[in-house]
Amino acid sequence: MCSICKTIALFLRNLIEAGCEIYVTDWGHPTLADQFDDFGDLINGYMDGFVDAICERHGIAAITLLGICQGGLLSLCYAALNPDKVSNLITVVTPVDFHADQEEERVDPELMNVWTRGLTADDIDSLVKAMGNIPGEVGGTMFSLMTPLRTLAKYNMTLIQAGQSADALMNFLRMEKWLSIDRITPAQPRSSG
Amino acid sequence: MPAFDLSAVKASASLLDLMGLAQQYMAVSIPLWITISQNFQGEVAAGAQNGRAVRTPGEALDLWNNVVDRTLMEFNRSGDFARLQQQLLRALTQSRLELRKLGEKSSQVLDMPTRSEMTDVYRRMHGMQRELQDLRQQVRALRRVSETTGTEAGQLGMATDDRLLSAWTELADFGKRVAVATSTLATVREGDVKIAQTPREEICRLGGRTLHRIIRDGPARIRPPVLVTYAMVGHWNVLDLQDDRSVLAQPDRGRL
Repeated sequence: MCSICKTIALFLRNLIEAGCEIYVTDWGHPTLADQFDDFGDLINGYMDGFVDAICERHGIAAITLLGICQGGLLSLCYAALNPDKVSNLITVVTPVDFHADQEEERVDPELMNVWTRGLTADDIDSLVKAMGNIPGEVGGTMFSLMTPLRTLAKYNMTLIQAGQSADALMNFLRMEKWLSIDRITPAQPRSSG
Repeated sequence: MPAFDLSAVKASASLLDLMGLAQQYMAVSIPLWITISQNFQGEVAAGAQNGRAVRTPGEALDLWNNVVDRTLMEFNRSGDFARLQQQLLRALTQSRLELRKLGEKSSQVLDMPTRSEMTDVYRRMHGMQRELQDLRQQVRALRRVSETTGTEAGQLGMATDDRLLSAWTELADFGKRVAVATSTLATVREGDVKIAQTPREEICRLGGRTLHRIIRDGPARIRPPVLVTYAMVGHWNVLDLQDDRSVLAQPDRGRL
């Protein structure tokens, strides 16, 4: 389990122990039937529906939003559009400005930023047209490129290391199972974001 | 004599483009690997001079891995790499689109639905889901109005409410059927390696998306409730990976 995930997990755990009621959005496993979902659907459709459902259950008007990573971006948009329904907003490891490295004139631009800036809108449109949804491998490849050899070595070196204890092996396999869940991004969010 | 089909030629032309680009990719990466070898040798020599000589095969492998990752990373962040990636991506999508045209022709021959036809079905379904969500919001708004205003206005609101509700129920049923079909299509993952073990209940389902509530032993002491939203590119049960450390579980159900 990565250190950020662990920290977030511990944070959530503390919230539960402190007595918070926790709800979780599960985006599911998008199929081609979800390919036309754009940011508007995610925020004004699903998120709003879930917030309403929670408010009705508890007879309240507003809730706390806790968004992690891209979930933080969605929560941020939701809070901006529906300030009356959000009493607290927490974002964790949330990317907002993908051009900050240019403004700060960093010599070492982030790989993801370099890669996406190298593509034109037409490139992304044709990718969407060809794929329907953007498969998890596209993002996964980028993450692998950050430490190419370690990613390749994972299944022989790390697995051997993890295989030394049954607990460590199960932890490794659970993480791998999580990684293997099809992490598909519906294609449309780009166009109407 | 069969008619000469140009689409087949186009498909193979795009495949050839792709192969050409793969060659270019190789051409760029060979000098890169030479640099890597030179860097590795340099670091080994420098280490030996500073009294940090590589002694075991394990140490050598570690150093090699680090040098490879660092050098590849430098290239991966460069503009050359971005351009090459762009060209590869273009060639890949192009060859996929050409291949699909061939596939669609075969589907028509076999009387099977084509990808374009299915896309049209999905587009209409998406439109209906949006309408459903709009209606839900209208019903909620009307309900709020009828709750806050006087009896007369409330009754007026109820009449509209009923009409909207029947339309809403019909659409909701359709939505449910769509959700069932979608989840049936999704892959079943079962096995010894289990994740997401924290007890939870399904509260609400919209299309293929679900709202879960983490089941707690006692009543909540802090208000308001918290809605946790993870990235679409990730999955929320990363927070819930390990049985013995199940993060979202109750204190008495495990330890972190």
